[in-house]
Amino acid sequence: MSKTLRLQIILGGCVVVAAVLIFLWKPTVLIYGVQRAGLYAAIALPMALILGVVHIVNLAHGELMMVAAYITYYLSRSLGVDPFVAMLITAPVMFGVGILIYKLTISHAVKGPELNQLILTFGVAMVLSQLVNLLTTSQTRKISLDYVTASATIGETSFGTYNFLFVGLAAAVLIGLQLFLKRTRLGQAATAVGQNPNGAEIIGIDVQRTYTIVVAIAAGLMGIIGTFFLTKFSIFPAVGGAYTMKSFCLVAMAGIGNLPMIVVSSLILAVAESSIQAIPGGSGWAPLVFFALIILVIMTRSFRRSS
Amino acid sequence: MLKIDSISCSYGRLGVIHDLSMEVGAESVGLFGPNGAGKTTLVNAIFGMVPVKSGTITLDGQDITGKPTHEIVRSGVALVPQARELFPFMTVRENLMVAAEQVPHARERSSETLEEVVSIFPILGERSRQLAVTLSGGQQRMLAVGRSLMARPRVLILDEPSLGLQPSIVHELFSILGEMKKEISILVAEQNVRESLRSVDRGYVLENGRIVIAGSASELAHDPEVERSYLGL
Repeated sequence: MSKTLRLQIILGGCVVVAAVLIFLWKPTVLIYGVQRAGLYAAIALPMALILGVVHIVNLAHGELMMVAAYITYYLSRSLGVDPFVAMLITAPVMFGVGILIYKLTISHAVKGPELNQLILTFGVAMVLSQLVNLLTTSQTRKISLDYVTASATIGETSFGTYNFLFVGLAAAVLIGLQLFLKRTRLGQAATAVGQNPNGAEIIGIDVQRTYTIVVAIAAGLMGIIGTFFLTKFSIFPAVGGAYTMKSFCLVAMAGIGNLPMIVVSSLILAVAESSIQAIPGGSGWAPLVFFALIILVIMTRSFRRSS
Repeated sequence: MLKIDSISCSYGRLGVIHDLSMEVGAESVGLFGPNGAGKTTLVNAIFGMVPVKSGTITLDGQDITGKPTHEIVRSGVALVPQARELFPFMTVRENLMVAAEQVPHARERSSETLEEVVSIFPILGERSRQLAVTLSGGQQRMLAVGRSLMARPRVLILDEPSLGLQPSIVHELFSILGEMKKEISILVAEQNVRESLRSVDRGYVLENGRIVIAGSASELAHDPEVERSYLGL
């Protein structure tokens, strides 16, 4: 048995043991952890598509979700429809926003060093959140929906079930993206562009068009995910920033380009977070644990590579 | 036929190609010259990767000057670049198939073309499930040539195909190119004049962005200037 395989089995075993212990300790911790993992994975997957597959750094990722949530909020309010109906407009609008952002900004930095994209999209993030701030003020907004409070009771444990929707959403986004990358001509072209843009150009791929569509797909997905987010959480202009950071970390932790690992990383981090929060007085420690775990994983990985 | 009519190219103010004309018909044509003569610039200009300042490039009468690279590929020109430019983490087969997918007229015949390419380069069949990055330099070159053929081009351009390869593989590659010229037009930019003169019908010698000698392969082989500068006689 190879050394890495043994290490993986040991690590996998530890995770399973930890999960069982947590479940015996407080079943809701595991349930809420899984639900939260769904949310994290759903948000991180579109970033994994553009960062991991075509290597575009987008620090305005969470802001795209925020903008989408606001669009759905106002559509839903003014048309008097359910947010999920408004989403049918939000998603294509966000697809368009993705095209616009790519054409106006990222396309000019795509051939330069990645640091340029980083700074550029950081600027885009500021513009988006400040724009929303100017238009709608920084007041927190929320849509109250009766189906969000659905809950279930198993034995003596009762818990909210609505957030399992995020698990389904993450699974749908993952499967959709995998099918897109493996089965469609555009998806294969995107993989080729990510591995070698010059080579892609030479075999007849329109590289700029591929970048544009991939960014637009990610933005369109944020249109859907932003709507889901709005149904459960309050929104405000700065709500996206934390999710940009978390997505970025999840993509780094999963390994660039590895979409299924995003789900695994999300599970580990989200369950760790909700375990900490379950300890009295622990909720303030959750972000610390999140980022400490990420530092640990990335350090271990670079240590393994260099040794 | 690929026809280049008095084109000039420059990087900023530095002229690299000056008023150059040449053509490639149903044949194999060599493009020779020292480092910095402008061979790669010319190849990249044909391929839309270096802007053409003046002059025209036509493919079977259709003007392709200044078109984007992907359109030039779709109209029937394929390039085997000096740096190979493969997709390192795709398998050999994926590298080949993704190239056929991009060109409408090649797409419907992709499995047939794949068989043809594998019969030309059997090693690509044996290694079809291996990642491109794990191939040796010579095998990667074969894959780069094979990949360009997947687009079913009318004109195939190769930029320094012998670079970094051991002599026996260079010899093999040029015999294959010699066979292929029956099917498609070939333009090969090379420094290895001795080997390439065996497979080409005609050749041009490029110096400082201008054609200084043009002639058939045998004329070039016996040209005193070519003998002295390139064949080391």
